[in-house]
Amino acid sequence: MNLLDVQNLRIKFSTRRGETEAVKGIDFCIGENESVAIVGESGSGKTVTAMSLTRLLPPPPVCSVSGKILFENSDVAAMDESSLRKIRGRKIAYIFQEPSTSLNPVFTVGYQIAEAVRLHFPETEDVRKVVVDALAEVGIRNPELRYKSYPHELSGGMQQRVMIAMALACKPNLLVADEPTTALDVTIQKQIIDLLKSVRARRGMSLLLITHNFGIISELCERVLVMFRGKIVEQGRCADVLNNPQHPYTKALIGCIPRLGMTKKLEPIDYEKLGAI
Amino acid sequence: MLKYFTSRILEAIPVFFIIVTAVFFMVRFVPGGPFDKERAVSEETLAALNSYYGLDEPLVVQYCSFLKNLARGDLGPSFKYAGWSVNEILREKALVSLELGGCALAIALVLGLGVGFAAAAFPSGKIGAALSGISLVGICLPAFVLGPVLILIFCLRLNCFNAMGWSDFPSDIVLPAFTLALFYAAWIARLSRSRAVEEKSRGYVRTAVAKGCGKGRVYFVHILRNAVEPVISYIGPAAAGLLSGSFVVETIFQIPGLGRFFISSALDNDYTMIMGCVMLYSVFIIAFNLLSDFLLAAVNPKIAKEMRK
Ligand SMILES: Nc1ncnc2c1ncn2[C@@H]1O[C@H](COP(=O)(O)OP(=O)(O)OP(=O)(O)O)[C@@H](O)[C@H]1O
Ligand SMILES: [Mg+2]
Repeated sequence: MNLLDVQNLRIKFSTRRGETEAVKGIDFCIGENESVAIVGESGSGKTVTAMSLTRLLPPPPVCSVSGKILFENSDVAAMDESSLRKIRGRKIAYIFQEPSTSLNPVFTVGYQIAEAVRLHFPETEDVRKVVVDALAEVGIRNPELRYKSYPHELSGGMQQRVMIAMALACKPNLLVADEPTTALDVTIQKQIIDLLKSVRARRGMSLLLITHNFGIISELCERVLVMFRGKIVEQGRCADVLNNPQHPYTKALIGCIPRLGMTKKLEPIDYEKLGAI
Repeated sequence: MLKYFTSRILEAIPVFFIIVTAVFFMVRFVPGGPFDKERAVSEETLAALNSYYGLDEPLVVQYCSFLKNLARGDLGPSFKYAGWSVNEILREKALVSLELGGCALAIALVLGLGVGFAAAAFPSGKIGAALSGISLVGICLPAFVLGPVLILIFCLRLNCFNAMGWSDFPSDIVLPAFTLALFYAAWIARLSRSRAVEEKSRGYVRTAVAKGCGKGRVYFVHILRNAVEPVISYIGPAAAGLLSGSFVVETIFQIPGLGRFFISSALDNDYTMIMGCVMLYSVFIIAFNLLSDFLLAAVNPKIAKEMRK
């Protein structure tokens, strides 16, 4: 049985400028302890797909979602608010792209992590200890001291570690990381990737990683889905897709990755040719 | 933090003196004097009055003796109300205005924040539009219209309050406090609504929902604390205005407050009373702006950090 099974997911936005279908009927699944990546260019619908998993998208009429999102065999799309809240944060936790705006500026980071713990484990006696342990687990030095820090007192990398600590504090089954490193500089990116890797090795949880960086996929994930204009155009094991891409869009995407010692010029994606797909 | 507020207070002192000095000379350059209006005053009596109050001395001498008395906390006798000192009038009237203004401030805050946040919770629906409409009416409706309308409804038709006066508590305070508060409440509602709507689309709200917070928690814990900022900044000047009394409301409801003295002292050229009112108002403005900065720092650690620099 799969942990998550998404069937025929469609996400439509209706704004003043008209209707757009951001996701056009996709199917995918994530197994227990499996790590899956979604790649694709900007606007291909990666973020909205991730958000739809716990219904974080704006309510209708702005955004309408159809299809089935089976998490542990119950359909998230048809769930009532209170059962949904028991999944959010507890079963499926998120890390977002912009750590600086994802934390509430007026509360200490400790409070914000503790809030998640209290929501899902109200009977916890020593919440503070759980939080301090979570901060220590993500490699924050002086966790007792950092508990009392406000987000603006931390660097971007630290803020992202706090986000990860918050996500991990409730021991989720699935961690959704939406471009967790895009806003950080390269050395910090590496640290965050290594952190995610070690957390997964230690805990064994499922991971849905969203990125447009092919470089980190093979490090962190077993399987990859390639999204293009709201559809999944190719999926398979990371090594297979990277070494032997089938779909022209995937080939074009991989053609855009700069490599050390490359002599060929990088090819821009030729949308004329892809247009027919 | 302490350093910041000490320096703010030290900055306020020269500002206060500039205001006081400017007003002192300005009122004396205005044509006419405090005893002009009394009809049957002969030349000799006028001269005697002027010399009794020291008004025949050179301006600089008057200014110096004013400062000397001010240092002792003595604001001098009122020229208009013989036998009363400005200190006595301020003390007695200010208490009434403080009471009325305090109630009005409380009403304005509760009503304003309530309506503002409710409107933000339903930004596109009918309820939100209705609440925004009501607050717009509140801003546009002047006290001299609202006051009489309330009197008409609640005193003459429903007979539940006295139309005027200031003796029967707490019922005498309800209508004037509400009349005074409505504009401020409406303004607070608009400030908090627009800020709360803005805050709703912030990343931290998404994080809060994603970790399992219910709607109430997202609103009253996460958004509220970020959205009260413009309201707090507004409270400084608003509180000074409310607590120093209102000419219109006090006149409509016949309340013996300070607001009427602001206007009447200027019309009567009651120099010492004008100075008393101006100084009281300046102190209020300075104090309440400091207080609102202090609250801002308490609510938002980022602002506190900037102040510490
Ligand atoms: N709130 C919204 N209102 C209207 N349209 C939206 C909204 N959010 C997303 N969309 C539409 O959905 C499409 C997919 O957006 P999405 O954010 O999922 O892209 P993405 O693959 O995550 O891109 P990126 O790599 O830039 O994050 C966009 O083209 C956009 O037009
Ligand atoms: Mg995205």
